[in-house]
Amino acid sequence: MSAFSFDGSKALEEAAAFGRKLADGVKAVAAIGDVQVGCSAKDAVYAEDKLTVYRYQPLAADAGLPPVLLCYALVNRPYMVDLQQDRSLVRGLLERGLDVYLIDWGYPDGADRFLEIDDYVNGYLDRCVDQVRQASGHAAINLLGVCQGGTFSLCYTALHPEKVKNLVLMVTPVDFQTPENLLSRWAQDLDVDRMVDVMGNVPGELLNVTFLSLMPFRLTSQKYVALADIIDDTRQLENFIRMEKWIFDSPDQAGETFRQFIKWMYQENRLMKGTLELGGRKVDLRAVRCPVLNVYATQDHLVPPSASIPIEGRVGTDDYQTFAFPGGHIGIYVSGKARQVPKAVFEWLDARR
Amino acid sequence: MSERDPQSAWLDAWAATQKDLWQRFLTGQAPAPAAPEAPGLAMFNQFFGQSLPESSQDVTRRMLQFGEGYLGVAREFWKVVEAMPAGGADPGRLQKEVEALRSSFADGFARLYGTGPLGGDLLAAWQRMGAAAGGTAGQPFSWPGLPALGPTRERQEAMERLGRAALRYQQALAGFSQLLTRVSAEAVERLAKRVTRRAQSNEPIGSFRAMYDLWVDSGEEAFAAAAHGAEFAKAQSELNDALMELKAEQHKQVEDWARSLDLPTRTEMNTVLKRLNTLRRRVRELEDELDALKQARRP
Repeated sequence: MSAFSFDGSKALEEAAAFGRKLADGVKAVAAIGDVQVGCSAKDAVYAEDKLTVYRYQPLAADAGLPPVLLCYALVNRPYMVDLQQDRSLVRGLLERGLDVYLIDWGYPDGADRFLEIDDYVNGYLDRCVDQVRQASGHAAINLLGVCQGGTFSLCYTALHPEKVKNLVLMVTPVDFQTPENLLSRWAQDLDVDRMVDVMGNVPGELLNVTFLSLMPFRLTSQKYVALADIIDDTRQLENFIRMEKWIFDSPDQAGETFRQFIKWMYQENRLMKGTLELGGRKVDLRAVRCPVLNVYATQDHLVPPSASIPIEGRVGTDDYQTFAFPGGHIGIYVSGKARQVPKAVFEWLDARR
Repeated sequence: MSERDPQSAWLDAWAATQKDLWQRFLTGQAPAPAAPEAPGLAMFNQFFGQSLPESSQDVTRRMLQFGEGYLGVAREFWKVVEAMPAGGADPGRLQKEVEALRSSFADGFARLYGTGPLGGDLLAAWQRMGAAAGGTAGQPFSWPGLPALGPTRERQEAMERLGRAALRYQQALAGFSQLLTRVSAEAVERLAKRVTRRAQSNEPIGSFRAMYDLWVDSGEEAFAAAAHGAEFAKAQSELNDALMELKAEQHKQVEDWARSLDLPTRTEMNTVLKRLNTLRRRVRELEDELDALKQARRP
């Protein structure tokens, strides 16, 4: 019995072919040039400090629904929701006649280190919502929160329920202490006070490496080796480069917000325990009485389903629905199956116009 | 990119050299090197990296880095295959193969990847942050434990604290690195078990790529087992705490120096920023109150 069925000629063939592919791959990547991210036309309609609110130009006749405001996470850049024409949550919504706005939080710098979650939720987000309400003439709008932006949107809806008609949450954590949540495991022992006191803002690079080290062999080594398989496909190669650009485009995190998010969410699980207060007001998720659609990814290693699913038991609405996307935290925007998501979101909103 | 492009010519030459290298390994004209053996790739990055389009630079660097790692894995694997005698009649052959695999990979992977794929990114990130904090590493400081005396006592004590913090950080970095090395060793053990299972199921490994994918699965599994454990979280948090202590000590020294020259310090900036934030919040509250009053007065 032998573990290998391998001879010299096969070995030579395979090694030489890989070397050739690697060299050709480098040429192909260089030849592609700078890739563009963010494919849909949009106009800046509001700006404050580092943030900008964009309104996307319509792609179809108005479906007559209240506008949708996308609230992205502070981690990474929001163009993930509109990465390229055939992989765009935004485009999927626009094509169905929705009026779509997006908050781009920008890149915080040293002057933003004392911004708190309260500033983001009751300050920036509230003013963005007001801008969209005013521009559209709707007293309440549809709010779509993504990941950490979903957590912020959930808090916002609990504190300002009259301004949100429907709440859509995508890969949003609410229970930060489930056993399979590796980020949470690591966060428990973190002396975040000392970290923020010393560093001020938390470097995006540190967060990035932390995310990659959740699955280090696959997310670093293997995916670049697998790149050799697609070097003949310019389209796939461009997609890969766009994703790379997004993955490593990581803004620093405002220090105080980072401190509060780690302590209050990961270490103290305040949303689940009902002990979170923002701006002197208790965030009572039972105050979320508008319809809620919870979209989570079944293979999400950053926000495991177990972190999202408990939203159901916490919010006060009797119109709650889930959409379990068969994929991961990033695949929900860019995989082949991602087209399901805007369709599901639109149909759900359309039924609650 | 035309064929006469120097970048293309370089890459073509590199691919041809690789093929030639493998030809010589396989015909026994040259021993397979244990470590990455393609300086051409590093040189390509050095010479041409900056001239590539911006969004391609990082992808190219990583492709070359991990592509070379892959070829290194292939060389380790080939050494194991090559060491086995021809013919499969030996009943102890599988055990010998697995032993050879374990020995070659345990040693070879440490050289190929240092502390595993993490070594390239995670430790480097910590080291970069440590390097920023270690700007005073070349300056003399009192040895910890010796009493500080005389009019420069406070200065000596500050340097002692900095020295202790630097030592703690180096120890924490070494401890974390050792932990990652153990993960690599565990990955090899898991790989050996996978290879044995494949052989027992009559599914022998027939390509470098299959072997590499098995190693990735083994590595990921070993890492996940460690990363969910208390020891890993503790080592990681000790590294973080040690780095923060070092940065804090250095920060104090830089601020002392800045104050002596009447330069603004981060502490003063923070005070101003906090006051500004408080003012902004207060103005917002007043604006809201004003709006509410205006609304109430409307007929």
